[in-house]
Amino acid sequence: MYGSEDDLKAKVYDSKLFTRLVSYLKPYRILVLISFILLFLIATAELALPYVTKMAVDRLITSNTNLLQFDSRESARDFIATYKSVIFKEYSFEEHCYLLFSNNRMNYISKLDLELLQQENRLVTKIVLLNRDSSTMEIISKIDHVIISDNLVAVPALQLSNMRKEGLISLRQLQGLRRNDMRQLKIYGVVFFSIIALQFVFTYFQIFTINYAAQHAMYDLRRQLFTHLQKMPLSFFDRNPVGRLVTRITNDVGTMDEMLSAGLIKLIQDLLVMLGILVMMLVLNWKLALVTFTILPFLITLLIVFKNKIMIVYRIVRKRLAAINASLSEDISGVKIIQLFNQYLRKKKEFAEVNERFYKASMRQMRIYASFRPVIHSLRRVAIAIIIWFGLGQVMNNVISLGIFMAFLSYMDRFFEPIDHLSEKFNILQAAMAGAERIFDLMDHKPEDYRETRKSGMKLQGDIEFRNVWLRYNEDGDVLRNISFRIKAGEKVALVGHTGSGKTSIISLIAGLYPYQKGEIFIDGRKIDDYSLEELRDNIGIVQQDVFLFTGTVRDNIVLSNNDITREEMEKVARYVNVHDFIDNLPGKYLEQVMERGATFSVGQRQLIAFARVLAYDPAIFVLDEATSNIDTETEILIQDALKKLMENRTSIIIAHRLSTIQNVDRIIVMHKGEIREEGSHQELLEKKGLYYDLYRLQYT
Amino acid sequence: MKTFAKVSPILKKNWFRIAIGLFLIVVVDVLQLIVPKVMQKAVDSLELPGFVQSDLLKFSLFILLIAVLIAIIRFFWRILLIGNAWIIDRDIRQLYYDHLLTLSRNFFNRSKTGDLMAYATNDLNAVRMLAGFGFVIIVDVVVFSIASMVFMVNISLKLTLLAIIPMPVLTVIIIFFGRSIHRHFRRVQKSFASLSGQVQESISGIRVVKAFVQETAELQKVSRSAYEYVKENIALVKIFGLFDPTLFLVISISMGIVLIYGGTYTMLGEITMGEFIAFFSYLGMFVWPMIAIGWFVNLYQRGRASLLRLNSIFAENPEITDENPDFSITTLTGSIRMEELSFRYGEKSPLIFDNISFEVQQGQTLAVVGRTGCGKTTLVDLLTRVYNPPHDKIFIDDHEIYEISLNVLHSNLVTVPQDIFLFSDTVADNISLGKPEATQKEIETAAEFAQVHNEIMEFEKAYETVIGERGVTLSGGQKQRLAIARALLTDPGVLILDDALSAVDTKTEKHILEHLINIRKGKTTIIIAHRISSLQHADKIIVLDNKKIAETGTHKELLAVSGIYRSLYEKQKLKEKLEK
Repeated sequence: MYGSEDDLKAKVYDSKLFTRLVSYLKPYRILVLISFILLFLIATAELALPYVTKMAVDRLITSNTNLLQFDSRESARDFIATYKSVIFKEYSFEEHCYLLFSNNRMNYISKLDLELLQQENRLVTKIVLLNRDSSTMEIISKIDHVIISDNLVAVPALQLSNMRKEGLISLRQLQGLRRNDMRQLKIYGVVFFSIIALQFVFTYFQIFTINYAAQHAMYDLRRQLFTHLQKMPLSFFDRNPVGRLVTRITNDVGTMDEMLSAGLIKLIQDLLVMLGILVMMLVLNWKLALVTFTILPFLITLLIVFKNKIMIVYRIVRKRLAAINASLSEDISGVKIIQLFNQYLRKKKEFAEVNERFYKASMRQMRIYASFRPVIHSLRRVAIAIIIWFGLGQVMNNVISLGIFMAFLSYMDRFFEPIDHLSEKFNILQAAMAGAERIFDLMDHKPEDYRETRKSGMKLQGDIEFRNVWLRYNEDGDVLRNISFRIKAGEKVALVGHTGSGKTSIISLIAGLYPYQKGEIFIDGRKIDDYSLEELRDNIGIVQQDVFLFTGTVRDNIVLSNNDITREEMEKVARYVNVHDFIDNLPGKYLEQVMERGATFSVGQRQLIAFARVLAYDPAIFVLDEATSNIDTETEILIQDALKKLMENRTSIIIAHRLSTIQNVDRIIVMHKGEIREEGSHQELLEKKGLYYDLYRLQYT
Repeated sequence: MKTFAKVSPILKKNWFRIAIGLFLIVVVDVLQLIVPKVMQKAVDSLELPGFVQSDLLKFSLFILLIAVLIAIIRFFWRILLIGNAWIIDRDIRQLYYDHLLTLSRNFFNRSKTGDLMAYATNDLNAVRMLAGFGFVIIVDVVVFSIASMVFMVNISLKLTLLAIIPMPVLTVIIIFFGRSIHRHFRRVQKSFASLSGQVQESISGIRVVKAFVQETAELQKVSRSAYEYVKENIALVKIFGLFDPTLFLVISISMGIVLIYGGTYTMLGEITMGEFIAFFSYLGMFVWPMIAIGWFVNLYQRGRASLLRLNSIFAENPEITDENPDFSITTLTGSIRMEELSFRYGEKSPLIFDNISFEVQQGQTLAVVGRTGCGKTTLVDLLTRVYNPPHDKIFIDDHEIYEISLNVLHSNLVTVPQDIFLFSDTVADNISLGKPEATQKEIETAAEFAQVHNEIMEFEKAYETVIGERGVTLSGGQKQRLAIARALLTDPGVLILDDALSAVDTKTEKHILEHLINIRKGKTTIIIAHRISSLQHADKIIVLDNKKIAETGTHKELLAVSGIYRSLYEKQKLKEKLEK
């Protein structure tokens, strides 16, 4: 046995497992690369949106521009040369020269200069630019205005809005005045919409590409895992329940798909955006950024403490949930005993305790969530408080613009968004790591050696010899002890013996299904280990006691994967083993679907189909484990007849449960407790009055 | 049964807690709605004459205060409401468990254990999510959508109308996509199930696959299923991948509209800069309920479906119940009479017994023999009412079986069943199951009678050793003997051994039977056995065959006639010889 179901791995990240897992993405690296490039573009778009808003606010929505007047171009040039760090926009009208600059650059200009400029009335702060046409000039004649070029005129924003407030101009007039800015704002709108449209397309293709890659990678992994599983020796299947192996291939692979397509990629995207936000904030205004970052140590500390606390409780909750499941499973199985022994009240009380323990653990987990999440959540508002106090202060001091203030608010909102979903993503990663561990553990089990290189395309004669063969499946002791016999090509032999005497084990050894410990097995004089397993099994046709039919058509079950068999050949075979009439009477005839592994057919019918399957392959050795259950007389006659035909010219070994069968074979081998006790023909053995005589009276009469 | 029949009493009981929790949510929501307003005031006050920087501190501290309040109140509503959901989870699980224990064999025969367990975990989980976050979302949706709308209209009606133009699209998208995604999701699940089935079949048939060298063919089948699954998943992604980006797109379009028109209004002095900034925040708060409605619908559907599944179990009536019994009957001495009993499991099932009658006197030992499947265990199950027998056919101490309360019946008729079931508990607790007050001495005596005491003493912790997955694994014989000790400890009026010695070796069996004769003197014992050696001492042997009692008599009497019993006996002798 390996890896139990409820193994809860503490690790969220294991580099070895992870590397191995990611290697499955290699064939799709171009898609993954595209996906990552798109991821970067999406992150950029997310960062760009608040920036576009900032630009619109600073350039147009608020007035953030100051104006300086100079009498001559030379004095303006001198001024520009003095303040190299301020970006000026130069305009000139008649002999005057005008410099426009951003309000947040006010502090770069020396106090002395500012005072001088103000005294001389050469500084106008917070202006808006209007088109210089006659109607405009007429309206603004009542307020301050400076003509700065042939077609532009500057007015103080405050005075303009006051005119509107006092009702001196109508909304329509104001709109007319500011039509330039309104048109420009629409351009920002276009940019904004273009970015979100691009982001939409990028996101969609990013999701699609990564899912496409992850799905196909998982397909490859499933295939590989299944191929590997098929090659495991039978003893492996004896030890591991089918359900568990199915889970490996279905659910465990599924958790990894989820990790690749959802958990990991989202996590990377979130981290990218969060990092980008920190960078953008620093670039926009490093002072405000650093002040805002004072919440980060608190945030990180809280997250770490939270994670540690929740991990401990999470494990307790899981454990107690497992206890609930264990109780339920046990008490549902044992409900009859509980009822018969009047233990209803006691079991109820016991379950109430288990249930209460789970409830308490869940409440503890809930309280941790209730304590931390609101606090972590509220840090966002603390950040807002900081931005209002320090940021707006800076706005007052003309250090930053309102646009930057707004951008900071947006970035903080976006920064906190992924934090809420952090634990969710860690759960996905953790589940995937546990799944990966179980899968790769299975992959690392050594498969059976199929000896592919020994293929020679031979056809067996069917001569079988066992020399002092010993077999044991596990520590429980020997199943076969010192078995020696020889079956010549074409001979018909019956194996008889009590349950557990080792009959089935002999058949398994001939088909190379289990390794044996001591002795030698020869087929056609060659050691069995020298044959390629595939070829060996191709030459042996086995019909099991409870015939296993595959989902698919009846035809599929007869020809199996051998598509060279024609319809005529198949029908001929079916007729030969007396199953054609039965199949022909089915609604779908040979194309009738087999349901639930053939449960809709009787044991006898299934056996006949299996006979056809063997005959279609025409193997040198025919092996039959006769059904123990009663089969209706009519079918029984068909089976016995078919059996006779099948055994012709073929080495046949039959685990016999029918009198007619043991009477029809050349020789009978009597097994007892893993040893061969008697050998001979039916009559010889009966006359001996030994073990066979007793067995015969017990089983065949 | 009403969908919420099991939930509403718990809700009613905790109504005060829920009411306070809901009230606190409203408070938190209101506090959250205040924040943008404070921001608006702060921004707008920049323009005011005489405003100094230290005044900003007041706004900041106010927001800080709100942040602290929100964190505190959130803590409390989570404790109240989510805690309430956990109470519901616990209480319904207990009700469910209690109910399960009352249900009959018939019910368990047709239910899968895995399903019954999933109801108590996965389905309850969905119910809990609905009961916890369902409330929160409803309140949030109502408060946020109305209040943020009011605030927005207050800033500018025109801008509000423009901004919410894309919003109905949101709801339409959630509904439209929701349906389509659901459809695709079901197809994905279906293809997953068929992949699962295919893998299951291929692994179950591994012997045949290997014997017929069908590895490649099976791999192809599995690959085909796996690829179908991939295809369905990609089809799902094609739709599902649109969902989040579309939501984001619609929200962003609203934001863009506010940027252009709100910007223009600010520019023209229609609204203030502070209002412009606050409007963005309120729009964000208005969007959230639109999405939350989708969540709620999802939560509700899943929670309801799970509740319905749970209800279907609650609706199962315990078939085996007291039918107005005579409570004055408290002990049974153990004479049993069956009169012309016929029985079938269901109306369409074949007849198991056809008119059988027999009688056992108090103190007698009755043995029941017959081929596998002849109904021996059913006979016992009818006597102990694991299945309900027809009325007026079975009499114990001359009382019709339905006159006896189940409690009394089960205390006086104790079975050692064929399929031994032991709990993952200590050896001592398992033996004392039917008599928890038993002393250690009594337990050990019972174990000695059952010939298992010595083996128990060899365990590391003797009687305190835990059995089962987490403890020692017992052999079949040990399990049977423990079960016998368990039954013997209760010293019942009627002891029934249902093939309870099959895994015990012949020598030990002999010892147990010898003890039994002594202990059970004066009390009724019924033994069902395959091994004739187990029942040679019986006062009376009945042979069941073909729905009827074929032969009745003592061992000697039955051997004298050439019938089923004799042929069974002879075969047994042969078998014993072979086993040596």
